[in-house]
Amino acid sequence: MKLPKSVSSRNFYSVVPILLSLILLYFAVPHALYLLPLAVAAIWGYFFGVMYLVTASFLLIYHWVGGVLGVLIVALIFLGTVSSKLDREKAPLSDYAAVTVAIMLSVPTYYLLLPLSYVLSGFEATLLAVALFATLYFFIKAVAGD
Amino acid sequence: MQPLGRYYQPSQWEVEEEPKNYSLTEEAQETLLALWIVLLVAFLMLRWNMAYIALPILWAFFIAAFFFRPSLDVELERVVPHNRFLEGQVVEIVLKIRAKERITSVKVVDDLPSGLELVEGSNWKVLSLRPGEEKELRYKVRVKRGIHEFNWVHLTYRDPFRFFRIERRLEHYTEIVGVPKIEDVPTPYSTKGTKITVGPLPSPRVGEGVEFHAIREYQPGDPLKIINWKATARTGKVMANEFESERKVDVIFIVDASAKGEVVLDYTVRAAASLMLNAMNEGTSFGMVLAEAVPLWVRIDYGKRHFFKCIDFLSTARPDKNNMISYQVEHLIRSRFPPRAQIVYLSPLLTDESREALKVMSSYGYRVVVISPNPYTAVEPQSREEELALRLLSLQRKAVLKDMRAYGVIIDWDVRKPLKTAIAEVFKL
Repeated sequence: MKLPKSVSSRNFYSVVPILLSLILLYFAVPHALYLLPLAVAAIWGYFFGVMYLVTASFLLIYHWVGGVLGVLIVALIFLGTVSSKLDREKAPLSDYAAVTVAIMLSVPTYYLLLPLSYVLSGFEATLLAVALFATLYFFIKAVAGD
Repeated sequence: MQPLGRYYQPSQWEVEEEPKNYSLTEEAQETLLALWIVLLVAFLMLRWNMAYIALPILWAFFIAAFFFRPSLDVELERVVPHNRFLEGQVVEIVLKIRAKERITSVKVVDDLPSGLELVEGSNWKVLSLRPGEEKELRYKVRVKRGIHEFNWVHLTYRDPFRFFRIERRLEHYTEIVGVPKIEDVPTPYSTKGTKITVGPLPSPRVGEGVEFHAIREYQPGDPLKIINWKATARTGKVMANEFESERKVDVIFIVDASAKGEVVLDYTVRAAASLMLNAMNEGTSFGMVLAEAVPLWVRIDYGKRHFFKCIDFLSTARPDKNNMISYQVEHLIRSRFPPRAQIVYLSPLLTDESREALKVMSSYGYRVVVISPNPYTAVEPQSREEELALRLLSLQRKAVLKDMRAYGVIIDWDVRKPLKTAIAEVFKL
């Protein structure tokens, strides 16, 4: 059977991280299956992937699901979202590799930050401030242009 | 007189650089917004110590910003087999891209001129290049008549995350010419006649049929061997012989490019090109007028080089909305056309101007053969009403052509048939 052009002209690697994230989310947060439509839509559109990321992050924060599991879930959702974009463009596998490595670096970084936060009290607050400033900087740059 | 209008220029292989354009993509902006929301949620729910769940996004931005920012330093070469192609011919375009640095993912878009129809492949490709590596973008196009200019190559780099976009347009010029299709046609006019010339005929078969015509005063620029020394001694002025040929007359092709006849302009141009080939093979010297907004006059000459020059100019013919062919022809008759020339007028005779031009040619005593492609045979009626309308228009055209026959020989060409058939029907060949 011949597939429609919209289906055959793209890859589907993003299904793997999206599916994994949904399974982990299901075990971490009750009623996470409500996010299934968003998770499916994330495979088709970047915007829906971002919506899925924001909603899942909200649930994780609300339910105090942090730790490496929280980081891993967010990393997988984000990986799925970016990969769906690469799928649509039929990007080379090296792009997937770069994206996976960069995003998964967050897991060892978490383990690096964990002992530091015990030693340096309030380190999370500093991290939050830095992250906020960085976000603000990039956002203003994006809106105002280079 | 120099030909007016556009000039054919050969291909150039120059790459001029334009400044790069860095920007954040929509995906990056959406992701930044998401990051902002996640951090705000953590802050507002007094769970700011969970801000670390945004680590994957921060890492992605960090890696994208600091490890994937190439300068898109590439060398380009566009390879086309020739400069000239027959209209309708399929040509393979090869764009070679050589990277001077590692570029993980770059979208290369080649400028595709509007007159070329893409028939195979694509004029864009996403490539991954190592330093010194060369890759090719290949696609095939069908050439239409005209000059087609490739002006640029557009490079769009996006990092693996699709966060940053670097765009660069490299000026890279290549030109190809789609020349009209040429068919073998009989000569629709007689080349017998007299032609006054100074000295030898500009013809490869000079000699036969050249006879003495008159003596006149020598003028600067005349060859020395035509000086009549006896007459010079007798009159005290430098006198020269004039000759006349009983063999061939000059032929002038006048191409009407009025926009009203756009539907048959390609046929008109093909007919002109075919008749020029015939003239060249017969050894006849010919000139050409391309009646566009700016009239293009190619003076009378002979030979292959002249033929190809005319073909190049013919290839550029475009429909002209403000056609003033009558005025242009009258001006050229007064200033450029040789007396007793044979005129071949290629026009659908749709406008008053084009019909007036025929009357003008005739009024100045020229013998005119009109090749008139019938525009109503070039369209296929889609409904009964359209069929009826075409019949009425065809009748009207017949009446117009009947009137026009007083001014020249008219070959009404049904473009669904070969031109040689139309010529043969009129001349009973």
